Amino acid sequence: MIIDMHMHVDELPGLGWSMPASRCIETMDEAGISAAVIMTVTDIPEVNPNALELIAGEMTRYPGRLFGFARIHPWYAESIKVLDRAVLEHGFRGLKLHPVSTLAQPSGAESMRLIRRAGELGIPTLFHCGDDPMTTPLAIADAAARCPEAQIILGHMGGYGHTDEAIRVAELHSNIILETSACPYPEKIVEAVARVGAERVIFGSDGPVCSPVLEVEKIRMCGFSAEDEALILGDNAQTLLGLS
Amino acid sequence: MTGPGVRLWDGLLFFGSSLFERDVTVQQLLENLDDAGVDGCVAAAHKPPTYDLGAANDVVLEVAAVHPDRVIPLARIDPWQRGQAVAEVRRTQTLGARGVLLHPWEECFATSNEVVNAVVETAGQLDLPVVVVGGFPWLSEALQVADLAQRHPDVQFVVTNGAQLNMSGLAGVDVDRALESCPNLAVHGSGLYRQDFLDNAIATIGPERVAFGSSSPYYNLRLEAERMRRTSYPDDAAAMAVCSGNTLRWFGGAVAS
Repeated sequence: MIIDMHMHVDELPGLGWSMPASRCIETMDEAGISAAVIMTVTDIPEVNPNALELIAGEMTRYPGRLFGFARIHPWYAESIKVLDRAVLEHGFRGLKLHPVSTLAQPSGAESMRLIRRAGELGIPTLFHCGDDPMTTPLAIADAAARCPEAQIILGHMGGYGHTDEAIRVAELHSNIILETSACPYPEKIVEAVARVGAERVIFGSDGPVCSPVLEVEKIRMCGFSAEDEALILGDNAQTLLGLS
Repeated sequence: MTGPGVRLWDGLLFFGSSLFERDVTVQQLLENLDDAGVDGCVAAAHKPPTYDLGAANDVVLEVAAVHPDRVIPLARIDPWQRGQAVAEVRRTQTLGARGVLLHPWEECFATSNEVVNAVVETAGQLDLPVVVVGGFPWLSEALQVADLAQRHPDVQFVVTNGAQLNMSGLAGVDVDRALESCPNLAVHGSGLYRQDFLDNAIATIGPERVAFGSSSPYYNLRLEAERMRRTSYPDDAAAMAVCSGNTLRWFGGAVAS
């Protein structure tokens, strides 16, 4: 069973980006993906006050196939209430933080209160982890160190130029999980599994605009054992999402 | 998705001894091509441990001479060498180099810096296309490469990495502008995480300005070949142009004929 831990549903006409849930389902079917985590590209409450309802609606439309992560802007006073509502009322399975769009430092007080609350709720926090300031592995590791009881997922596992750092901080902090979407280095995914274990590496595609078919193929060309491949492609995700 | 008759020709890979411990031998190069189902490649020298690009260029030229059906050589040039750089373009062209490689990241120059001009002017005089390793902040951002291409409108440029190394997707906006404004600028798909960028580029600027180039071993040749096979093409002619035809048209020489 393949579970994609990183897909997007949103519409951004200003950038020409269109990511309907139907496209997620279409590309999931092409790639043999059973279920996926979806999140918006925009944050709630700014610039998208309706982000929660959008994702909740698609979860309802595709039960058992789409699970929501709430993408929340940490700066706003109501952010904790939004997270509680997402998880307790709508059944969201995780929190998404993207410091490029929010400018919120991962280990800053505003982000930390959300991460801590996510930990209390028993859900993971997925960070965009790339090459931009405030998204690098070392920046996010600081947050992980301050809140060891919360699970932190490094989406993209360091982007183009910070992959080695992502693996290293995962070695240092047992609450960090590496997520493979868009990582263009299959050999680094192999290295990550060797150094932190297959239990802490999860598959994501960043679809539907990134190719889920190619992202699955990327994992398969790594040549993992059947057991490790199953963990990466789905078993770990089942545990994280509370599906097992 | 490409049809069964579409061949792949890698528009750029690196070869030889590497200062950054990415050594690739001739045997490995040929095996990697075979393993990925790629017919041949345009090859450039790694930055060598000796820092001697001239000697490294000679190795690539020698390999291309031995394997003319599989390897098309580029000359790797450091513009900071000024007059010696211009002389190296001319020297390598007489020995069979089919283009010039500029690596702003490893040779530490911005493509918008006028230090590049003499090398590019010489390449233009010799009808050699210029490959620019793109996407690096400060040095080869899309608009910086476009600035270079606009200063030399008669030279064919190919920028690698989709001219973007940014997983937020934000650099793509500048890439779109760069490609729209420079008809002499084409783009490789190496390392591009957004499949829709490739699909859109083929639809908007045309398949004759998009090409397969792996930038191996910095990227994985098998994965990059698979990326191109799984791209959406309007027809087989477009697929052939992107996967091999454009590269052979720009650099082909004896291989193309």
